[in-house]
Amino acid sequence: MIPVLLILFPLVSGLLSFFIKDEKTAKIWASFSSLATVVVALIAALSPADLSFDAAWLPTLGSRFSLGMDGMSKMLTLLTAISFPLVFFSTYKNSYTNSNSFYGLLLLTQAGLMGVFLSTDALLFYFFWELALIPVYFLCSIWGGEKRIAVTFKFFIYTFIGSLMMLAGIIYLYTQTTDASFALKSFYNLHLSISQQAVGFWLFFVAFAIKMPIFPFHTWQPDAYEQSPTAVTMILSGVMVKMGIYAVIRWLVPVFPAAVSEYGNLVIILSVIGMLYASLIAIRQDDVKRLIAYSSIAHIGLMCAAIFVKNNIGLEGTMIQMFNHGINVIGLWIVADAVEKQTGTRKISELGGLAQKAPTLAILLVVMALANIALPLTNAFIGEFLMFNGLFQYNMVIAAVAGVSIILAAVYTLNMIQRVFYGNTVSLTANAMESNGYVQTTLIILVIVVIALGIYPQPLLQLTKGVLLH
Amino acid sequence: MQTNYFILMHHELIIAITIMLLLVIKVGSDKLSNQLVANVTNGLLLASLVLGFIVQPEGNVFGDMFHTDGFALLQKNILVAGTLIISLQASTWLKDYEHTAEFYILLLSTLLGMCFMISSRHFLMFYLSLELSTIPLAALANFDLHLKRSSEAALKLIISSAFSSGLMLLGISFLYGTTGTLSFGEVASAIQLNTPLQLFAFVLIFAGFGFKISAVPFHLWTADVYEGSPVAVTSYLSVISKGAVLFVFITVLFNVFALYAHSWYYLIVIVSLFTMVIGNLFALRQTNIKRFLAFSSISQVGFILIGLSGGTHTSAASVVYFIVVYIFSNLGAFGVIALVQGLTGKENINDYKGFYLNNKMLSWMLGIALFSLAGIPPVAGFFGKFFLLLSGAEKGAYWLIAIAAINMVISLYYYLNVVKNIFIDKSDTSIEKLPIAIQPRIAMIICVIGVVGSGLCGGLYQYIFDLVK
Amino acid sequence: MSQTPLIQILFLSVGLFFIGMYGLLTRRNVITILMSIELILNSVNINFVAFNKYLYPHQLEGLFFTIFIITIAAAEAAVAIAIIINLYRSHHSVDVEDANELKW
Repeated sequence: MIPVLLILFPLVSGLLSFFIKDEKTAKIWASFSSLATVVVALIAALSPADLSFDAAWLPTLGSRFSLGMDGMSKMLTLLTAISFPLVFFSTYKNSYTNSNSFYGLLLLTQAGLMGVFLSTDALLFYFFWELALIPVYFLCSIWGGEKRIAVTFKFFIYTFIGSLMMLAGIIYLYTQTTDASFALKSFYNLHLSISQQAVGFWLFFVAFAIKMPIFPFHTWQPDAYEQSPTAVTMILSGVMVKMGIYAVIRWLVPVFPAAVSEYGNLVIILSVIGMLYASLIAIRQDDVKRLIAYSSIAHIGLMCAAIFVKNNIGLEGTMIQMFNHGINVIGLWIVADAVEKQTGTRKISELGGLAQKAPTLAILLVVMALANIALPLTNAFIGEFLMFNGLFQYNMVIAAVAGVSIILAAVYTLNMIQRVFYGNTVSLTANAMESNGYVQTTLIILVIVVIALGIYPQPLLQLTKGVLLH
Repeated sequence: MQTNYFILMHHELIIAITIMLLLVIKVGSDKLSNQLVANVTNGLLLASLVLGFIVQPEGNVFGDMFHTDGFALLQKNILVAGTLIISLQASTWLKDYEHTAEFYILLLSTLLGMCFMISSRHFLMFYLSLELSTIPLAALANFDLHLKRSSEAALKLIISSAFSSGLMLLGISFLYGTTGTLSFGEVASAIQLNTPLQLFAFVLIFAGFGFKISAVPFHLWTADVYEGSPVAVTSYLSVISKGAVLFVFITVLFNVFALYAHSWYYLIVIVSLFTMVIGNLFALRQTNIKRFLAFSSISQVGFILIGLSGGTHTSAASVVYFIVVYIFSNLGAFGVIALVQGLTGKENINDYKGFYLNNKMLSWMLGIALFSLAGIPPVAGFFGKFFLLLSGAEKGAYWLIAIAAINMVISLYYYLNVVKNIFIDKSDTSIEKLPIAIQPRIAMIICVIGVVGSGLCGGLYQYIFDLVK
Repeated sequence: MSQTPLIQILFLSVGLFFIGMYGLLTRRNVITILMSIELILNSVNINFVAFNKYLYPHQLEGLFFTIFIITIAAAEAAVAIAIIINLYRSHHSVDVEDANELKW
């Protein structure tokens, strides 16, 4: 029953949120509902056994409403559950027109995300996959920046094309199953020839690659991150991109093992190219939001590569990193938003000396940034270490090339800190102040999580242990 | 035996009684309230609908010309429910109209024809009911009596439908010549493979059906008629009459021409491809919202034909399910358009800019309906399309699924364009807050529940599937 | 007296059908278009009667069908002419070229 609650809480409270008239009530309602979801997710994560739920849905087609919760699902639902209250809390002072719809749509997104991480039935999976997408379309195109309409359109068409390819793949696999079923288990038991696997592999992979996004399917991402309202960007980069990685681990690698061996090399090379490419672009970015967006592409590329090396170390690293990257990137967005709120610009070249005016913010940013470049004792270190280890075992040259991106990450992140927070104050930063208590509290919570998981990553390792390849 | 007639034909009888009643009321009193006429009709339609779910007889009358069973009753219920929704939506338009009674008489006559058509198991019965369902429609299309374009639409409708009946009749006559019978069952058993005349007859009948469901290349009348007719008639044409013809098409293809399955499979695949692509391409460039929905409904027919190509129980069930979903979604969209058009006279897509600002509920209704038409989860349209594609894939035509998927992307583009106009664009001349009367409000709520509920509730598909068997 | 063979009658009916179709597609006067449709329907009538008489003389289905077609054609013509009159009131013409308000 717990898996159902995880979907039901945000779904129902999201729908109810549309009927709230008052802005403040809507905010409080959304915060409380998301906190309730956190409690449920924590209970689920702490329970030792795998949870599942199964009910009849479309019996003639062999599709069931079946949810399953193993370690990876537990971890990602926990990430989804935690990130929403953090987002609500850090943007508490932002005001939105029609805020009831805004929060309602965000909660519906959460329901969709939960469903994606929980479903063990392909049709249900697709259903939630799209459910998570639709509210984001409205969120970005109603509350986004100046160029929002064109950007959101591009984002939506991109992901929709991917989704339809996945749908075609699902139908194809369904017709191949012996028991005419959409269940994950039946897909695992398929015996497909290598050419059949290739077709299915590419149909699924493109859908997931667009979502992650992997080079060369990434072009929607920086624009979408830049134009979306910050709360949505946090969800997009913190949680939504994990849908793609999760889907690869759960729905792609075990279903098409032969095709993964065949094309894994190509995917890894693409990912590594993407890492370097994104890092190089990030160095040249002047806009803080775009910088974080490109840095996110680089991180995702590493995670994707580490899945396809097909060894347990890389996979474990990816799973842990999914959680940690979510936490870190949300923290970065909060800082970026705080900077923009205080100074009115996101241009690195127009900023400087913010640390003198807002020392607390500066310290918090530095911790977040260090976590972003995976320094030891921050949470990201263990994940990146494992992933590089996995890559190294697979191919030393590739690991070495990928390693360059770590250096590049240090370059652009430290450069950003230095130019925004240190040096002399300029006209825009002269009147800046510390950001409000909500933002600081959220950041402090995040910093605590970052350091705690950096020192003691055991809980995450424990959670993901059961999911590793046999 | 005598009572049997009444029970077996209860849909038809109630509708016929309503028509008589309205005639008597119209003739009897010169000053009658429109509200009364509408309420009486709606009440009787509702009664018929309820009865249709409770009393489910099975049997044949008229020397086996008329056959009814659970599946036929379901189809009739769908049509009656759709008509009821349209009647509720039209009340704003009809409130001050002098010919309300005539409108209902004509509307119900076509509905009566459709009910008989669904039940017909004989080509004579089929032809008569088909004409009963199309001739009054032409009169309905002309109901904006003072508008030039309305008469133009009616003229186009009646000429194209007469021509298509002519084609179909020629086909039926050849079928009669080669088999010596007109009953569906006997024709099906008398048909032989590789008879050129029978194949020719089939092609003619197919073309006739193609006209009625406006499949490409027989679609040319559709957009003009949809644009010119009053909105209520347009929605009736695009949903109810199309649905009824499709129901019969299933019977004719799967039962009568079962032996020709191999030939009609390719015919349907090709026609469905053209229908999807051309419907979509023309929908892209429309500025009038009625015309836009006309072309989008053409492309929806293309999807339905993909489902039909499967040729099994599953595909019949998926088509019927899709039509249910399509009725809710399309009527949801048309309901809003009818309101806007009735109160402001605006019917261009650009007029909907900033619509969300003043009309939140109507905007969400239209938005949900359009998303459902585009086939995006979580609304029911996705499940409808999904089942259609699934039954199309049964024969292994994956390339067809791929082309359908591409078409879904194209269609998403233009549906999103309308959604963007409603929700995102700003305009100085955006539509004022519209008052919504109680009847359209009820209709709207039914549509929303239908669009959202019929997808999530898996039992509905199961129910249809069991009835098809 | 020798009977006309069936094939000749079928030629007649198909010829009539295509004359009707030609008229439908080329004529510009709405009334003539309606007459062309009548031609199509009458060709079908000839078909039915001929098939019934020559191939299945023991039954009446074809004849009945013909009678119904004639009736329905009359009803159809009545509605069509009513619409044409309405159109004439607004256009002052029965030429299809003048019915040009609805286009792509």
